Amino acid sequence: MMTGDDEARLLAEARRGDARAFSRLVDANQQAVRGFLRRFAGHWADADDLAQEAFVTAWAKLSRFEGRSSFRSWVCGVGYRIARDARRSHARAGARDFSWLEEQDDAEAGAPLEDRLAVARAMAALPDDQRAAVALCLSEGFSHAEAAAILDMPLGTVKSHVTRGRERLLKMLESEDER
Amino acid sequence: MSAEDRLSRALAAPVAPAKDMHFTLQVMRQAEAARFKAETGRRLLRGAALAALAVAALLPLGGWAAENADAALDLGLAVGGVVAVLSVLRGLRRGAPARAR
Repeated sequence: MMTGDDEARLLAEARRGDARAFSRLVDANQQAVRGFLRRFAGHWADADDLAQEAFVTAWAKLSRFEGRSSFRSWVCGVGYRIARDARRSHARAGARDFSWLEEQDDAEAGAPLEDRLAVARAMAALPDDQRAAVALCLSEGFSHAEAAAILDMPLGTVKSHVTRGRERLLKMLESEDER
Repeated sequence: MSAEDRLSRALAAPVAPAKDMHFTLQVMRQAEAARFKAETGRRLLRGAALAALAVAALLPLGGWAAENADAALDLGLAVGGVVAVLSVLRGLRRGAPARAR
């Protein structure tokens, strides 16, 4: 586990052009960024491509990172904007694929496959901002304040997105049960 | 189990992949390619700007040289001499650390 001091030291070295320091930051934060983008993009392969693009962009723009949030939050924000723009320009929404959920067994995931599939489908139906807020706060463990920084939205908007998104997911899950 | 509980569990189900060294390597490869591309672009722009400046400086010189051929020859020889001396000095400076080792 990387401490705040370790991260600050690696960031300072990476800002001076040390590629090895940056690769350690990628290594330490790749799971969080890839996890968030998998939930947001809904497509495993796309999400990993987007996560790579996010880290490459972060490397190129590292001098602009002011350190007001964690590096993980900042890269998630970079990834979110790349994913959102890519969805708008390429209509990636139509190419969702949830087959990867079947690779996990129920015990490992902590929830039955039917529920995970139903929630993934319901997530896909949420508007981008709402889906991102729900994914960050209810799935990936970010605080509302961190999500607000990542999504570049006011705190109140993020809280409202999370509440409304959760309500919509719940309704969709219940309506699946009734079928 | 209530729908609320099921939703919470499904949302909390981990989707993050295991740490993957290939992912990091791929990122660093792409980052290096992007850096090389940007550096090449910057060099090309700098070269084009220098070439444009040189052409802009040489155009009026061309007119003057046509009218003063002897003076232009003297100037050309002087500039050539200075460039040659500078090249020799630079070569000596580069060779000095190698000899010192």
